[in-house]
Amino acid sequence: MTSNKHRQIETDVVVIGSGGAGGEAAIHARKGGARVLIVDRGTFGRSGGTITAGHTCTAAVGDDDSPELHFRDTVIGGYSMADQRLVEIYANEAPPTLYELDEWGRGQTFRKDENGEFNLVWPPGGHSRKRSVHYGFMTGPRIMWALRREIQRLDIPWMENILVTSILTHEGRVSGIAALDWKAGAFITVKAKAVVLAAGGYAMLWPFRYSTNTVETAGDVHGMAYEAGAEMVDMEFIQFVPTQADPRITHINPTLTNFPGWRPKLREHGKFTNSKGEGFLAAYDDVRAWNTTRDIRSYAIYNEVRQGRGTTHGGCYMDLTTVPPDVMKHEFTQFQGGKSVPRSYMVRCERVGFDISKEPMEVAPKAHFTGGGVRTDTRMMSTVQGLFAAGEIQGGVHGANRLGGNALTHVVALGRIAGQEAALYAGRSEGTAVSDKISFAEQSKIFGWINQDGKGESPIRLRIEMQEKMWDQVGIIRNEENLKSAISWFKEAKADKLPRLRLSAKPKTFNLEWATAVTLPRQLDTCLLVAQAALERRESRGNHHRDDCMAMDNDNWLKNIYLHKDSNGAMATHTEPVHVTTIDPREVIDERPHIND
Amino acid sequence: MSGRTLTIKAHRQDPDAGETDGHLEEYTIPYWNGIKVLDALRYIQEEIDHSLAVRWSCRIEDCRTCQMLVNGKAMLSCQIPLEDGMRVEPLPRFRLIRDLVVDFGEKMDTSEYSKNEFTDS
Repeated sequence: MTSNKHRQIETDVVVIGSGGAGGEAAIHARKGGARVLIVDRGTFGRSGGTITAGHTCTAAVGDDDSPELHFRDTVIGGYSMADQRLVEIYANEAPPTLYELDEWGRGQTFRKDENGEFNLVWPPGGHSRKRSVHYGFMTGPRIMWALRREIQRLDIPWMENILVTSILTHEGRVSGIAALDWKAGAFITVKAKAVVLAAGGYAMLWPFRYSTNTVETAGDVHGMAYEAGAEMVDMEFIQFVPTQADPRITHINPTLTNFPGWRPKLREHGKFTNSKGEGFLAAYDDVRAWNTTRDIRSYAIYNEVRQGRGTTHGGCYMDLTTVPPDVMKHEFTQFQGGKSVPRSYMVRCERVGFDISKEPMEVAPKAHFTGGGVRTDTRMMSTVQGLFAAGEIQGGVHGANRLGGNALTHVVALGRIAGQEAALYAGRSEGTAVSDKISFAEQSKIFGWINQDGKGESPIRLRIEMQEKMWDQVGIIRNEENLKSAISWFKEAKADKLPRLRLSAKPKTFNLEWATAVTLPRQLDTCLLVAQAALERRESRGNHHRDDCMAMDNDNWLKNIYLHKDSNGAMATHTEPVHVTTIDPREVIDERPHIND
Repeated sequence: MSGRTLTIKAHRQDPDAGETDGHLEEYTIPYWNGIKVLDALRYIQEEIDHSLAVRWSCRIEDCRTCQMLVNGKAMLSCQIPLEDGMRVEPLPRFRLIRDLVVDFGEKMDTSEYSKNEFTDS
């Protein structure tokens, strides 16, 4: 039996997560001369958000484009909340990162035009230039394919189904990680000079049916980083994006719902209506209506539902039944030469008996991307020495809303730098020992779950309750009363409910209930971080909507909220004015998307 | 929900506990319009038996990790509409971890590490 084994590994850089950010970070740390180990809670190279990214990856590579314009669009799109120092790096690094990714895929990672240049298409709303590099609607899987190839070429070791339980530190410096190998049921410690967090966002803190994410983005690693002493930023900014809600077609990539929004002909002939058949988007954004940004579309749909004008599955209708058949056929089968999706969307809809041209599609907002996360400097290092953050887990890059197509670019462009910097740091660092006492305590805690007898509530039940709480009270539209109620519920769950949990399932391998028990305390911490930040921000901005303070308050809130654990173990909050390089947040106020009164 | 139910038979086996053979266990699932095989397995895991081992990630055909034998054919369970009496089993030719989950691997190069060892503690 494996249960009492303790596997000890030593390396220079350990990367948590093997998605877009983890892959880039691992490759560049290796190229920087470090010994690297990738650990992933899911399946290697197939977990996390990158692989589900349907379409766009933005970079200023067009003749009429520049990193300055990409930077400007991103800052404006984020309602001036993004850390401009990070956005500058991101916009500048995007083109070289994508050219490099293309090389790793033998020059076939992305689609090219007849001159061999990237074939560019228009990204979703908010971008001022045509800057989407893509591989049809399989851009995310294609990027992962290229990353897996390069990881294999460099012979970088990896382990899968490794559930990290703690980031180990010693005197303010990172010393490694402790983890449960939930495939083998074994305890693992990795001693490392640098740790790169590339574990994704926290969109799965909301009920699975209201999240577009993969199961790995559980949000527990955020709680772990906070516990290890890292400062967190922008935790209140969650992007909800409208996607198909009819269970018959929820097995299709959410891009299916977004696609018509970018196609002028589909928008011209189609409708976006509430359950009373009324078009409503123009009432929320009279300039762009259907082509408005995601935050406004989600807010609009949720508000219609709240006012009693929603559909069975909590959404509104995207109605393409009025689109002439020839337009429909052209848009869905000829787009980008008719390769890959969206033709396959049609096929997959037909397979389950859903005809998108004959039936309106229910569309509801779901948690999609989390803008908050670990605060980093321009080396992507957190406030803990040696602890780096790459990808969605890094906060501050998008501000109060993320433009479509900017996520893939963020994770690869800044993941690359996190890897380079982690290798540099590891090269200079002596490393600190992993204390036997701490690792023994951690092991006892993890295995305590499986060795414990008696009856109690299942952690799976409490996880579901927590997620429902997040949807009801820390969801799309918030207010002080709900947030305070949620905060006391999370605190009570931590203090009273956690100790009473018991496992009903005792297998040592691939035990989801055990994994949930280990994850849940961290997730509750992250819930508290989100709710606390949402409570502090007494205004509505971007994807943070407060119905008790509806206005965007530029006099008081051109600043970011930071949270950290103070020396007494309490959650401490402070704000800092938005970090600016070249754009004065006040100058671009009129250019920002807005919600009509 | 209409009150209609469906049954599904899932392979159960824990090699770690010494089980050399598996068995099919039958579960009754409430039917809803659009239910897929993976939805049924997740329903079992959340509502009936927390010990069922199933690997899944994206739910939208991209990650391909929820692959298993559905009525004897390798399929992505997230894509297949549930039909009454379906049989699900783990992929063959991989080492079985438990129930429906097989081992996709690990890549460790021990020469890279100064220490990579198992100790009893």
